Amino acid sequence: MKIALAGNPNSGKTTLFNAITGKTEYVGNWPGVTVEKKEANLKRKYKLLAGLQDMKEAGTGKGDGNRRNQVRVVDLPGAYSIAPYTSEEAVTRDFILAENPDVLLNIVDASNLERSLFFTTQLLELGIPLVVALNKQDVLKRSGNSIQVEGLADALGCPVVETRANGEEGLDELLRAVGQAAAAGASGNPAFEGRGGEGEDKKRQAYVKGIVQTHLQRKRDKTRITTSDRIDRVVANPFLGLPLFGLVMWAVYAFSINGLGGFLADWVNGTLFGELVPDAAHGFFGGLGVHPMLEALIVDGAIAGVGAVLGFLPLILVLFFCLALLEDSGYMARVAVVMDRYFKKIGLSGKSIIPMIVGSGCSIPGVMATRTIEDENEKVATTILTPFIPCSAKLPIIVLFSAVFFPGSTWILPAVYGIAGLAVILGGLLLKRIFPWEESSTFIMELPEYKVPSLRHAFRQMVHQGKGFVVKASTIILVMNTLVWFMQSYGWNLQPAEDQGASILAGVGGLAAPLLLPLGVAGWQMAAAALTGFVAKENVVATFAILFATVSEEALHAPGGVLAENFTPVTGFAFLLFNLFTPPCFAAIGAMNAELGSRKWLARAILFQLAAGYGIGILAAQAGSLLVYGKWAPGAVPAGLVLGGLAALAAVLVQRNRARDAQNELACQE
Amino acid sequence: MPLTKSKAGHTGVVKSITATEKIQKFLFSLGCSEGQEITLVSILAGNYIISVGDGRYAIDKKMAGAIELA
Amino acid sequence: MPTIIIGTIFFVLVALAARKTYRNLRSNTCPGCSAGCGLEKREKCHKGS
Repeated sequence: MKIALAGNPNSGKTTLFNAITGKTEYVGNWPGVTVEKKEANLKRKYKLLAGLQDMKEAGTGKGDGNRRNQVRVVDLPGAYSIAPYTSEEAVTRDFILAENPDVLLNIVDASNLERSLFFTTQLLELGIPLVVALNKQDVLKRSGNSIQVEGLADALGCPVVETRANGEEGLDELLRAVGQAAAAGASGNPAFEGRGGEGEDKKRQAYVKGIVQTHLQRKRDKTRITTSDRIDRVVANPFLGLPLFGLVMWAVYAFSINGLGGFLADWVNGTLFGELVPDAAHGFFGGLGVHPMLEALIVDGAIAGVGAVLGFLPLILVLFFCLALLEDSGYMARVAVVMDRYFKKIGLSGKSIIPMIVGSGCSIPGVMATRTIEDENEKVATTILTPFIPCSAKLPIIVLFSAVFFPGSTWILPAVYGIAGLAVILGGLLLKRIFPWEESSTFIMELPEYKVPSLRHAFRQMVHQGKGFVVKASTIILVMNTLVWFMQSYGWNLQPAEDQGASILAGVGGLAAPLLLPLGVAGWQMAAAALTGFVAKENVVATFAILFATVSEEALHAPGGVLAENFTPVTGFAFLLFNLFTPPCFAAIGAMNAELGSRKWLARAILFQLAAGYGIGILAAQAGSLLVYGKWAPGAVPAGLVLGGLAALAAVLVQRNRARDAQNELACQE
Repeated sequence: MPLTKSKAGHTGVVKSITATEKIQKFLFSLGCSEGQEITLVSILAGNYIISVGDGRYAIDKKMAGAIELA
Repeated sequence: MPTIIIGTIFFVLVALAARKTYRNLRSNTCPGCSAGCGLEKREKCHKGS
């Protein structure tokens, strides 16, 4: 038994999905958050309500979803019409046509009835039992309009149920209707003249208009200037818009990282994982008489590494709570409007801001969110540039370096995000000049009405992100930490190494270490940390924690701590930037591969990011050292060579593209 | 008159849309097509905020220029 | 004896973690990350459509 959720973008499909399945999928108050179908089991409570537990006996269930009498709920990306405009809209159509769900649950935005019903009438024609959830009842009430539900149900020939997915209202009744519809079979077909013929869409539109006119009582003039419009004039102001966005983001990050989140993280890092847990673990294992090697592996390897990452959990929680509030308000759609003008100039679209904001949580959904961008070139550029935005896995590195080298400063984080923004702009300009791209893009963005953000929603999103962070720390980070610990305590002869310098890790790191010389950074430890960072960025912090746990009693993040012996503040900052802008983790590279769709473009993207990270790091180290200390950082000569090489490469590529352009033009003229 | 020439607050009927079929279809599914009323709510940061049906959309100048009002 | 018990528990945990990591990486996602292609959709996902 399969229930599919379909409807316009931002009509609340995922919110409803979460409510009836108990999942916590990512929700945002803007169109296009869901780009991939998501499946989960219907909650037992609703299954009973819908009377669906008898379906198997009745023999109406079909497909593999019927295993153990499950009711699968499938959340589909939003679409305005059966005919797809962007690739994620096609997911909806393909799914419905190919997988033949037992019931379609059509979520209709009650505050935008006409547009929604256009899609509804198309869905009705598929011959699948359909139930309409008339969602966003609160928005409808606020506007003063009202809808005659019974009349609408009669006109459409399918059940219509009023819901408010945000407050979980009307869901019992909705699922009851779903159960009845599944038992009753196909819903009515919309009857209008000219179906299937020429100008069908026009006639469908007229038909829908007729239904809306009869069953919707309007109190509000739809063109009146609303409070929403007045707010828009301020937040999307050509002059104020961008600074305001900067200010808002700065406030969110300052509060999360220097404020409440930082305060909590300090305690967790310093006291909980710095003293309490290791001491308790040592006591426990010592008391049991466990072999000291195993004790070291667990305490200095696993606990030290995973703990160093988990310490940042409070910070992540506070940050995502704030971001969820901001997203829920409807502000982000406006940011896209503001950014469009600037982004167009650098070969991106205003919609590119959405992958980037999503990417501030994790690059993977960020890269996937590029699917909402229609223009192929803008999509590719956005996919390459989105990982420049520091994700939550990079936050621990930023915060660690900021605490060690710049204790008490509040400017490091905004500076890092500022540099990230600059990297996106310059990267976009460069990409536009290196590859043959033409501008063909158009920009359409729906502006949802502002609303008071829901605390419950923010709390759920926070739990969701926090859970992901913990799961990641206890899987991929734990595995890497175990590996790192073995590699740093054993030599090539597979005997315990007498000191770290003779270990396997020192050998591997030593091979890569010369590459870091232009950054003014020497030492295999730094290279090893950066290498493990390519698997998952948190590993940079975790690896440092393991490597220095044995050589220093001091906590890793103590100001001027053990890290300070290996870096100057400037080269530390450069090393930080290097880690931020080089290709992200394995998983994000996989996601980029999926979105770019070709190995050639993936290779180009990775090379571009490598060059960008390396170049920015070197530049920061050498120019920074010259400015701050009045002399070049160590490794100035190779730095000059690398930078020169990169600049020459860029120049050659730009030139080649220009020549190609000229050739094309000539070909056109002939 | 193209939409770009009208003033904020102006409501007009769409006469024609000059765009690729794909974009025309998309605009159509939003309710913006020949014979439909649309309102230019405001011009913000180079984008045109239009009211179509019960929705508000931001479209860029290029697309606004493609929409001809009667 | 305690060494064997604790060691077994620890390595089983790490092995489980490695398995989950591997399966997630194969489907273009990270453990704990909300997005990525579902395992069964991998084929389609790679085509980028």
